[in-house]
Amino acid sequence: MTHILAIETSCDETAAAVVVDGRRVLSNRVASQIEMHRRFGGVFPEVASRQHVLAIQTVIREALDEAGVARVADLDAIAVTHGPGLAGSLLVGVNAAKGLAFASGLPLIPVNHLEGHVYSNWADMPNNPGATDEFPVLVLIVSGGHTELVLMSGHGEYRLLGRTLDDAAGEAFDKVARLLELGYPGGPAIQKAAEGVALDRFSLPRPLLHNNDHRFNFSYSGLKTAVLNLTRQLEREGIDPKAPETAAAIGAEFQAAAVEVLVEKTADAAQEYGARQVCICGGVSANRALRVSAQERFAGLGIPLHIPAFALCTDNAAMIGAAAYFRQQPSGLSAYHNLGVDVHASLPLT
Amino acid sequence: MTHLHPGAIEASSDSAHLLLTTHGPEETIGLGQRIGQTIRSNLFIALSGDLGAGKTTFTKGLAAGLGLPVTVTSPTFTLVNEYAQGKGPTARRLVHVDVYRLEGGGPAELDGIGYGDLLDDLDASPGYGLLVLVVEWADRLGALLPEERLDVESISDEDEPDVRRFSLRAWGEAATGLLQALAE
Repeated sequence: MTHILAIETSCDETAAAVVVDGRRVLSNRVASQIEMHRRFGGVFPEVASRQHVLAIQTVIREALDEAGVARVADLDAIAVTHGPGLAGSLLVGVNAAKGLAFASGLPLIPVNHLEGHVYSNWADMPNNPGATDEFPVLVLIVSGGHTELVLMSGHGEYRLLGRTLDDAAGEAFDKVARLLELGYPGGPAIQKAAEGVALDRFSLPRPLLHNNDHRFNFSYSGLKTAVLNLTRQLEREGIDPKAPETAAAIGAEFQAAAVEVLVEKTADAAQEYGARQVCICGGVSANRALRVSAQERFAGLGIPLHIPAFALCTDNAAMIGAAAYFRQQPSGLSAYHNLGVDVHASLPLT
Repeated sequence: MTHLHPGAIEASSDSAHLLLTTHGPEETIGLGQRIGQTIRSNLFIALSGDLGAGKTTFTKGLAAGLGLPVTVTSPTFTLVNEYAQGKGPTARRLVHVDVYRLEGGGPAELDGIGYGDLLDDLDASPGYGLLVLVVEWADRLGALLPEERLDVESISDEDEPDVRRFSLRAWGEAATGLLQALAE
């Protein structure tokens, strides 16, 4: 059995986890800075890295304790996110991981954060067993910074089918929530406001849906602008778009439009490439409307769908531990004794 | 490919000003592209305008004009996106920064995304190739803006959803020369 301690500090969360054989999650600790960002309404790269420094030793200690690991040397490897993300934040995790690997003599596996999101699907969680090894697998990664459709022909084998041409879906949720003054972070705020709201009052476009030139690409900038134009139109008519009922109705229609494009393009790609499984992951995969809509769509198509447990949708280290296990498999752990791991603010999956 | 109707250029000793109107994203890309093609030396572009004003769309055009075959996506979440091609004097580098989420952030926050280093890079010799640094929501930078730069402000028209009025203001010799070349 391969026990991996994984560390993730690419953005707002300081996280550590112990994962066995890429699937069994023994512990998954996250210290989030989201409360601080909610208070200030933004991100502070310098403050973020300082918060990582303050939190990381405790988070690692808690992850080891919870997993019943007495000494680091009892593990088989250390894994760490080395990109993409904020350089200052990534460095905190990478330096901590290097220190542990150097002191213990364990191998060090650098992991791409996006590959981590992909492998959040393979981690077993209570009532949510991981994806199986039936390929090809079609993966939709959808978060604040990414909206990508990736085809996997095997573990670690990726082909990028399409991506956003402008804004990521999660970013559009944030910006629309800001336009409608619904709160931060935008995804949960819009979901809450849209709960039970009828979709008959407004109509927004479904960007790039049924567009043959961009069959598997996404565009959320135009949808955001459409919401902006709608709010201006309402103001001209003397209606306050930020009044709770109106904002909720616009938010609900925006969510429906965003979700429909995600689900339909994923379904189209799954059929085109004969996917035997579909996985949806990343922060936006926690959105209930997306989960419900995707479950209905893929049940109709008879294609197994996997969406991670909520704890694995947002940034976490268990997914990094899972990805690290599958990443090292072809060569074995002995190929990972180089401690010269650098951070990469931009690091594509493919 | 674009139908730009430049107003008369207003030039004074320390700055120059140009107003342009675009009708739809294609023309906004076209405007960025023309500016990208006209840039001859390192340049700081301070972009401002509301949500949906076309800041990232404009930057897509800039990348195309600089000859970078890339898909420019929003840097709001990542804070900094970098696109580069080539080496040495013919290298072209576009750094796309968004300070939208850096509310309340002072110089230390900007250092967290390497802002100081990027400003230093702008002063590097031409032997390092061309660097264009584009900052979205630059109006939030205040005194941290460099003196020599091109201000690009996009104003959307409340009554005409597709129309964007671009106000281009040049500070310093390089940016002023660029505006004059654009107006010709």
